[in-house]
Amino acid sequence: MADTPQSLLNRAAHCYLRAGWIHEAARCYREAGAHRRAAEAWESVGAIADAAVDYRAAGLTTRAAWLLGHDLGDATSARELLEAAPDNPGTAAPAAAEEATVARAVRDLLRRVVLARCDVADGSDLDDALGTLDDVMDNLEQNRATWQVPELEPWAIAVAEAMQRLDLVALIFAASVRGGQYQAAERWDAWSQRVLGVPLQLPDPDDDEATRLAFARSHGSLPWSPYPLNR
Amino acid sequence: MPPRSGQRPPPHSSYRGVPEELRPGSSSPADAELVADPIADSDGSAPSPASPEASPLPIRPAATTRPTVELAVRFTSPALAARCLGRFLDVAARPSVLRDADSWWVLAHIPLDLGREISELAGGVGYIRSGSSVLPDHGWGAPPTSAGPGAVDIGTLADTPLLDLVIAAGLYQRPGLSLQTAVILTSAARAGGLLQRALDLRLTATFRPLLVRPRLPSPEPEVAEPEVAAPDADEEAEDVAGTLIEVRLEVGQNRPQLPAALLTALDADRQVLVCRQASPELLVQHNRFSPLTDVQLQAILSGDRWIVADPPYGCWTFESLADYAEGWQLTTMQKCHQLTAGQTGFADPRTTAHATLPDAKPLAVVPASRADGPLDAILLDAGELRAVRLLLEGHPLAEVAVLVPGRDQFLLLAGGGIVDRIPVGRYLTRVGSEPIYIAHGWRTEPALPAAAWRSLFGGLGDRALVIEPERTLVFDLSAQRPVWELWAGELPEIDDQIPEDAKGLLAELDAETTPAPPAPRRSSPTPAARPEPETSARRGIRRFVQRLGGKGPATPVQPTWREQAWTAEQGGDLVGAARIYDVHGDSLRAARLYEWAASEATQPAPGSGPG
Repeated sequence: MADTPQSLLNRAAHCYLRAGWIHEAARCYREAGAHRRAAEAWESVGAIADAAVDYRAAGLTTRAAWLLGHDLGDATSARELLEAAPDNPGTAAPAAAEEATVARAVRDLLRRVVLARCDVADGSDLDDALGTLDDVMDNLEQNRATWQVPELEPWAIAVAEAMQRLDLVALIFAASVRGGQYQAAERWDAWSQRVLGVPLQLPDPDDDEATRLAFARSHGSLPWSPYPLNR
Repeated sequence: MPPRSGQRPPPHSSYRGVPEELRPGSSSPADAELVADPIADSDGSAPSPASPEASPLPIRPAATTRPTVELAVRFTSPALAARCLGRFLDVAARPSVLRDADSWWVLAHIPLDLGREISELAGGVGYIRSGSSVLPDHGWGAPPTSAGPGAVDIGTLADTPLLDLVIAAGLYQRPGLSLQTAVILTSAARAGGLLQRALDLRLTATFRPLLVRPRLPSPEPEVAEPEVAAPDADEEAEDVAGTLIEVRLEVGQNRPQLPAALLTALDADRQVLVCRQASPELLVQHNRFSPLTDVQLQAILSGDRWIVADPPYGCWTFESLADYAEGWQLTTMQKCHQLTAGQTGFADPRTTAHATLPDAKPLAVVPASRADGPLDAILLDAGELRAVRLLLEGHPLAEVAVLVPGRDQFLLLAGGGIVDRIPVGRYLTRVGSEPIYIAHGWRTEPALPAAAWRSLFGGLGDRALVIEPERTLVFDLSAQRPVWELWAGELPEIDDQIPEDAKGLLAELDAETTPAPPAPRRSSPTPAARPEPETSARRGIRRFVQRLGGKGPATPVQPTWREQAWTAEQGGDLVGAARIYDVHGDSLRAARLYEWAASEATQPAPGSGPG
């Protein structure tokens, strides 16, 4: 088996990673054509501009646009990127037509979230951004194909924080909890401790029927209240 | 709507009667007894025949509702009638259509309960034919057999062809359907723009011209009329015939269906008709449906090829004038794209026997954009050499580094690069797989690939090159010494502490165990001339004696893995050296060697390319 330049560069990058020289590893991954790994390495070390370039080369234009808009504040480049290249969802496409439609709708929603972040960075009118966050809350509550875009909730939270609308953050988390997203209450509690300094207080499931139903639907998560319930 | 039969549902006991006894108004003494005495019957006693001529009654008449009858369904709206006709076409034989002044009738031979279901679903009123009239049907029970109020004489109804009903029913609209294939009919002037737009959207577009004539749908094909018939009608038909371009759009790989915006925009355009292809001979307007299905419509409209559409387009027959052509075939090359002979003045004039070659650009060394990579070598002069001695004593680099002495400059190297920065000398970076070094943080202008280095400084052999901005130095790698020789110096004088008599004892032992050779033995214990083969035991003793005496060959020392790697690197096997470093955990040196090997592998071997 001949040693191709790509395989040698990949091995070199792997050795650089083991030695702790992440910049050199990312450079070698980029030369070898493994753009996604290069972008993750750049991102882990803080070189966001290089990470955006490599995400774009790897076809993950939504993530590249997010880095440009959120971490670098360069809304113009992010918008150009989103308009120029549609995201390539990869080979894991669902077979049924309805699933494909739903998945495409959720990916479009993610792109709109990125555009909303660009609006906030630009300082332009925020009506579209508010509409997008409404749709995000709707989607999280209905749990439509949210497993395909795990960064929908954190990015929407970041957009709401950038708009300095902590009430929208709470609404988004509440939609996640109602929709049964995995460990949504824990994430809300962590956010609340970090930003507000107070632990989360959620209503008791026995208060009313709607709360009990929502609690029953949030399968897979620990009990709502950060304090153990007396059951 | 004629009233239903006024008969009450018969009581349970009457099911014991024969069918003739169930006619309304028929009352025989036997019936009266049976009907009026249910309690006596329910006692279980057999009903006594009231009249002697009555035969033994069967328990329950079988299949009174399943005979095939001729069912007529009456509608006021032609659309409902057409829908019912469509269902009859699927399940019944010989459906026909009649009409009178204010309603439409659909007749078919059909099993009774199936027919009743269909007429209920269609929203019509059911009639059963008996004789020359149709009788209103209750909707349950046995079919009516005697004329009563509400019967209609068939003679008063006019027989109409099925297509009249279809035409009267028309098309209804169902918006928002998606298509994978659309057939668009338009004039030639508009077709060009449409094909252009389709190509822009990456749709597969083909087109062909059609000859169309406006006609109402009829089942007879348009045959050439004999001269006996009115020739004016024929010329008239020729006058109204016209041509249209049929543009056929199909989706490519990148879409599941045609873009809805395009179809909506074309729907709104009065000069363009968007159709779906129900069959190769039937085109129906997009989003329009007849109460009959496409298949049934095609079955009724056999004969010509039809285009069925709402006003303002109307219905047409078409025939094809040519085969399908690809949409992009409408593109022609402009004059500027045609091939012409080359223009003189573009090529250099041929002045000498050889071609005019471009001027060579001198190689310059300029600062690079990044200066924080790992270090590969260090250039030292004599004063710094003394500092190196102090710095590297006890440093782990002392085990691996080698020093290449020159006239007044020295080169410090290590396998896989120095990588640790020591604060003396000028830092150097290796350019690739060749031992050519450039000042760290600088690069060549223009940047050269590995093959260029091989040919520019070809045949380096055992030499290393150092390229600085203003000079190039050459070092002889065969003169390399380990760097610890700077301070380690010569071995001290060895004073072997073996007592004299032990030496003599060992010499005697040696003499006894060595067989007497034919040649005279020498007294010196050097192993230079040993004629006989000796056993390993004798060799071991001799060597032991020699080592004690400080003379003779040293113990063969196995090379360490670092030495193996260094040897491999100098021999040109960079991948092997990298593997050794990788296996032993020195990841950074392994990474540098893999990178140099990759730059060597990128270029083909010299002589394998053209020329």
